[in-house]
Amino acid sequence: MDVRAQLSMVFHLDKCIGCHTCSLACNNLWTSREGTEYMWWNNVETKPGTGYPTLWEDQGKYQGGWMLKGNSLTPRVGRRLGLLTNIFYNPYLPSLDDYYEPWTYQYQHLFNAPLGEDQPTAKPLSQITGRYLDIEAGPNWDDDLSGSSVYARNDVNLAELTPLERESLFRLEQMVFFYIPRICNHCLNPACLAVCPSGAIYKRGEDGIVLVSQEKCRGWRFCVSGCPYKKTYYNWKTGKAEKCILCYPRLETGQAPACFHTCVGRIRYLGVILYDAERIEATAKVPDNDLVAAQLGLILDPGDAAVVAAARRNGIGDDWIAAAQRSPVYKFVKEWGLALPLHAEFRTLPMLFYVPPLLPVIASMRDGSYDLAEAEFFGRVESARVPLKYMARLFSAGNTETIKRVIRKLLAVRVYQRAKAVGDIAEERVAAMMAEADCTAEQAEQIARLTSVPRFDDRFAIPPYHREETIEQIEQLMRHKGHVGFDFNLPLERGL
Amino acid sequence: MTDKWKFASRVSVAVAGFAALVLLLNIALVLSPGQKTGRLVPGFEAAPAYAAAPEGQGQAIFEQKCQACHTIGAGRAVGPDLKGITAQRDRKWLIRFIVAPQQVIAEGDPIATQLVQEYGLPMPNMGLSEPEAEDVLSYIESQSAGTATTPTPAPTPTATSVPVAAGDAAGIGERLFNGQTALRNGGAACISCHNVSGIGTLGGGTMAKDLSDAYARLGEQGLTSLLKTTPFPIMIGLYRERPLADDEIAHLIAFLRETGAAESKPAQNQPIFIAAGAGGFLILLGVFQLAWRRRLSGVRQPLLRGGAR
Ligand code: SF4
Ligand code: SF4
Repeated sequence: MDVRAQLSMVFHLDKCIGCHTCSLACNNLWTSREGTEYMWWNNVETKPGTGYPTLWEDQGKYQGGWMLKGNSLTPRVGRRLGLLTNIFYNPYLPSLDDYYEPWTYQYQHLFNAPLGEDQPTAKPLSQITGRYLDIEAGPNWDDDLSGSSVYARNDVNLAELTPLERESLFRLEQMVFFYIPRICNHCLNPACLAVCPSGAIYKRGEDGIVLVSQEKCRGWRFCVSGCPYKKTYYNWKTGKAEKCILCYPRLETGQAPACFHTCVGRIRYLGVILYDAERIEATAKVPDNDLVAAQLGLILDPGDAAVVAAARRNGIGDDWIAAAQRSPVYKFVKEWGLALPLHAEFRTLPMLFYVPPLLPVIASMRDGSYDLAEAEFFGRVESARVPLKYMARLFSAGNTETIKRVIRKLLAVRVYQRAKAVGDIAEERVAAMMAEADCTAEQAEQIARLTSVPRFDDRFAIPPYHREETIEQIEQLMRHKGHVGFDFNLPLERGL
Repeated sequence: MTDKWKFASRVSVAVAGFAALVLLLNIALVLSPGQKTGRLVPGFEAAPAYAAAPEGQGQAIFEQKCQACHTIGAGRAVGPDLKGITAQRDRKWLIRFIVAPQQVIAEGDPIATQLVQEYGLPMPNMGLSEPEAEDVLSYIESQSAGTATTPTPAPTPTATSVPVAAGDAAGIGERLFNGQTALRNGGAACISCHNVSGIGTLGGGTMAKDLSDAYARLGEQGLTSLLKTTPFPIMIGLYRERPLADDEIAHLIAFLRETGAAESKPAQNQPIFIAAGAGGFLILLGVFQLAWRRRLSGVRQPLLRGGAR
């Protein structure tokens, strides 16, 4: 057992209101520089939809992630030799149009326009060329199912649905959608790292955050192809790749990452998990159907004495083990089994988990009023408007049983709480559902509590980094005194 | 489809890699010391032992090292006639010039500069020591004093040169020059170091002098004695053990005479060469564009065009 610590995340999709506050917080903090205008390290997309960059899930086009060839795991873009011989030829990249051409508005014109017949307007300007621009697409062009005839219909996850199921999804009265906020998953088996020809990407030992060294990166952009989530971006100004850094400077000072901190829906949870690094490769080779179960199996119980002993042997401090023990992530993912990784079939073992949304059940209009053809109060798993197959594509590598179990439990908790608060659901029915979902009353209370009224410290169990001590062992602190910046550490040029 | 282009791009990278490898190997070969033929400036080996008799020493040195280019009273050859040279020039200067001609020339000595201009090539460093230079000068002095009658030196190479049928000889000479016909004694082909106008698209080597006007400069006799004795440092290394045969010399001279006379056209080759280069470059660009045309294909535009799939 090779126990390591990973800072892991849970996003509770039922709570996301699609306000994009998270994206803006991240953008204000990290990507408001020249060269990063088009980047959204955090983005929120509507499902069904093609997302950002367009069709990022289509690995036929982008060749991201890993594939299983016989018993060997290879990055889809190629192994070392294939990468090196094709180093000047990589067509598996999103073009700027697939992201979008970033723009601003000519605000000054509102003030400076000469006297005229009409109100002055602020025309859009490209942030790259500075010229006027006809806006054709943006990172959220398909938000709330707008433009769905193009974008939502081309969602690759719909591939397995029958034409009828697909049609019914987009019928006017049945239209349904939900949001998925996405950041880098800080994977256990990162494909971005594996395909970098310069060896510039690394996974931090203490917390598993995946970073791009701005000094080693040579701008080959294979990480952009390699990451199946398209969460590394190429900065055209510096010629280097950049990605979500999970706000490690904030974490190291005990603050939650900006997107977590600002989240309006409070959907985000963060905490340490302990995992067994010895089994990473074997886990990434498991067939699709068992992949999610195997990945969750990697996560160890921080209360287990043997695990704690092994963690100590590996140099994980007691305060980190304690943080793992109160981690909300461990509870959601392992204890309650409510959160699942996004697209586990890419085999990067992502460490961001999603609690799937409970969507409305099928209904129809009858005599001008809404008719729920459903006996249960919150509906049943089988009659969810978004077919289970679609949800399974997203969250359980196609295994509908896994997703069904999760949704059943979510429903049971809701019914339990409804019965408790309002009392209009028969007790036997509640008991039956709880039994079916394998959920105790105590667990349901806990889930409801952490879902609906968690405090700041419940959501974020940030381990103490002791940066002030550890840094002395690897850096000469005085060397960078007076230096600043996200870029290379250079002295400020100020003064006369 | 994808595989084909992957393969194509791999092949082109492989070819480029191979070319780079060959280039590196070449550079390494040129730079590596030791190899006798690869050496750019072969050092002189220990001076050959001369005939013991001191009075004969000057003569021996003259015959071995000077005679290729100089006569004493038989008129100018590659270099000036040395009859009476000791009377004409300061003895100290002469000795210095004999011992280290390159250095004197490099210093911009006016006499030396003028000589180089007049004869069209600098006197090579023959590796003589000062006492040896003294001996040679004494020998020249004695010969100059004696008579102009016996042209002691030259076993006049011209005499041995084979009379040749002009037209054909030039052709044979050209093939010898560019290495199509190997030199009988195994010496390196001239083209490795020398250029001459009109010798194929790429021209000859650029390490040594362009020989287009060699015939005009040195004349039949000068060339003959030069090729017989190959007195220049690099040529010594290359040809002392593998001298040129007399008939080869005659053929080469015939070739040089002809190319010199034709006053041929390096100016004509140049534009063709540049055009070929530019054309090749464009064709390569086209091939790359074709092979790698998918590199910028987006996905959103096709989505818009195709609507639902
Ligand atoms: S999600 Fe993050 S860690 Fe995983 S492959 Fe992409 S960039 Fe790398
Ligand atoms: S801030 Fe929170 S609620 Fe708003 S879009 Fe982002 S994840 Fe969703």
